Amino acid sequence: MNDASITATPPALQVSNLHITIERAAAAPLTAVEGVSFRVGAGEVLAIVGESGSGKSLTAMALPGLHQHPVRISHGSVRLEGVELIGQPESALRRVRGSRIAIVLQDPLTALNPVLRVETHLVETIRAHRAIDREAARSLAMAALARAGIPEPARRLRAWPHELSGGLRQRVVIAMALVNEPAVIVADEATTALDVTVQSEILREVERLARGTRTAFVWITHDFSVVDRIADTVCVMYAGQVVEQGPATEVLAHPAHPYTRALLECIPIRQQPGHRLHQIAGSPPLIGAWPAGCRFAPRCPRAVDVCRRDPPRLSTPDGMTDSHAVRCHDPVRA
Amino acid sequence: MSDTPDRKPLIELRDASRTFATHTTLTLVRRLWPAWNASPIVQAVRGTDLALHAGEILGLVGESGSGKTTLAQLVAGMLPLTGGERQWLGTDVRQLSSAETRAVRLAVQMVHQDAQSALNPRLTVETLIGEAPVVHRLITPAARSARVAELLDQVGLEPGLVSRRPAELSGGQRSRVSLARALAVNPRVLVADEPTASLDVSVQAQVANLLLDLRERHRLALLIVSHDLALVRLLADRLAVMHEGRIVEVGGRDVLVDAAHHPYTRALVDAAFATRSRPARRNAQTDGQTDTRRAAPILGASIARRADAPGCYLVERCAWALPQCKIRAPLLREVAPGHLSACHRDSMC
Repeated sequence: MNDASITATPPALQVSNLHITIERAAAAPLTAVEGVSFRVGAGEVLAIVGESGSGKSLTAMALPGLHQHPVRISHGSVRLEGVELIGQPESALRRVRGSRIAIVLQDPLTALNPVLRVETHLVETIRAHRAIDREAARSLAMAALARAGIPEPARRLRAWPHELSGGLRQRVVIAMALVNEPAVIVADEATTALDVTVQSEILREVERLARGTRTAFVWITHDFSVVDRIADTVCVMYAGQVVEQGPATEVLAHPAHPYTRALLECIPIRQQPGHRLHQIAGSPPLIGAWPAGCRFAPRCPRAVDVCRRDPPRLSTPDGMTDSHAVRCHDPVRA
Repeated sequence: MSDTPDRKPLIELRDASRTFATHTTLTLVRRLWPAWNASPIVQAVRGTDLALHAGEILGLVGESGSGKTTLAQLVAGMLPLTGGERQWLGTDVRQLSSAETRAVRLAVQMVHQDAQSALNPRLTVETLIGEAPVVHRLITPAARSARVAELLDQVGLEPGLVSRRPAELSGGQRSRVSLARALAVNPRVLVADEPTASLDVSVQAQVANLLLDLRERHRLALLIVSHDLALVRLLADRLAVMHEGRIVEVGGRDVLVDAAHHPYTRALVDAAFATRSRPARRNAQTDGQTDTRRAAPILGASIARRADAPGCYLVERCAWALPQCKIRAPLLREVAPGHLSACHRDSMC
């Protein structure tokens, strides 16, 4: 990865200081996401991990500008291949959506129109952005299905969504995302609804696509084992903030935030049977009802007075890699 | 209490089947279009044996559509069998008196998947938990509040929640209320369908630990249905793997994870325990692998198969398939004490 200089190619996606609020009729808006920043280069996979209410899905929807009232981006910047998306009119966003940035959602059945064949989904996506005829679009569609790992693409083009298994449907949605060769694909819990065996195959496919087509992936998940499988870099979100971010191998091996560490301990495959499971006391706070000081303090076994009083800043303590940052007054040492 | 000499299972299914008829009301359509008759029946559970002993946790895993939930509902008595037998302490439940039948219904409780939709949104926690024991005269109405408070304490909830309704609870709290409701009638068997599926990772572990505590305290028999093999392995003593309505392998949790016999179990374990340093194996077909034992044994997702098609249900997807797999369906047989597997390969190992 090149360091960004004036002449270097801008990263596929650069998000700086993103703030997302939820407007309310008779009250001050709730701040749901606060100061999220990250960059993803071509061919890289960034994973955003968090529990419910962490703001990860709001962040995912906001990247291509798909958030809707009462959700609003109150501050920050989203640059796609160097071009600012925030503040652009809807018409301009429509041009980049599906061509330069695409999204894959959790449930592939609701993402596909039940009365359209697979072919129509893909051909419309292509022809919305490129002036080519139906036949040419059809062969591109077939190639995209093949790239997404769908066997017999010619036959699948004629299929209706209900005729496909969950895994095949999600591959069709991924093919739709891929078909115009976007710079960035945002995937929100894209394998959560699938069986483990199918999930495993899709993750392998994503890894291959990122390396092969130089597509950047932003992979939103609650599941750390997915991060372990595919991510180059990771952002851990808690209560609307990034609490730790850095190279995935390093964060997984040396988690510096007590929350990251606790979440990793909760992963079933890292535990031995015959004991009680590792757990984190309490439950995540509701959106906007953030505790004072550090937002994880009420659930943190290491919390001291300062944690309950002063909000910690995201920073890189001495001895940690430059690209690894943590939001904690007393980070866990390796 | 493990010194009890009686090792008779509390509840047992023998050769249990459950079919669902589809399109039964569309007789006219069927007369006009006979092709509809081709698949009028879904066989959700086919000839399955399952036994649960006091104090044991059995984990039931399998992919979506394998029949896990239907089997759980058969065990819990929520659905009648269409074939086979359900026994309580060795007696066919159909031979029990009506008073005994009622007692068995209370003794086997089900905790449904998705506590949000399993709890009546208009009732308070107090009514949700306290109604059944009063109706069944296990307690007097006057004793209800005290009993509810005791149950809330057992599942780790604040007594102050009694006047809340489900919408005012978090996901983890709803799961606990659901558990407390099942415990309220003093069951001996608890059937929990995906008890942690809708919960956050950190809360999931709390509920899992609660299940372990409850087993300990009440010497409950627990059937835990889950798609998450890695999680259920941490809870269960034994695991049963289900596929296409049948249990294809059952055995101790460590044996099934470390030394599974059945190719489908191997594929599940492979996917569930994959990490970057130990990636899941690849398809033998697509990678031109020649050593089939090293390749992923099962390819792709479930395919619809005619109910009367001969042979093993996995034959089209199995990299280990033998000639006889196309002809005869393998039966579940003991490969080691307490370890059963349904695969023709077993007889060759």
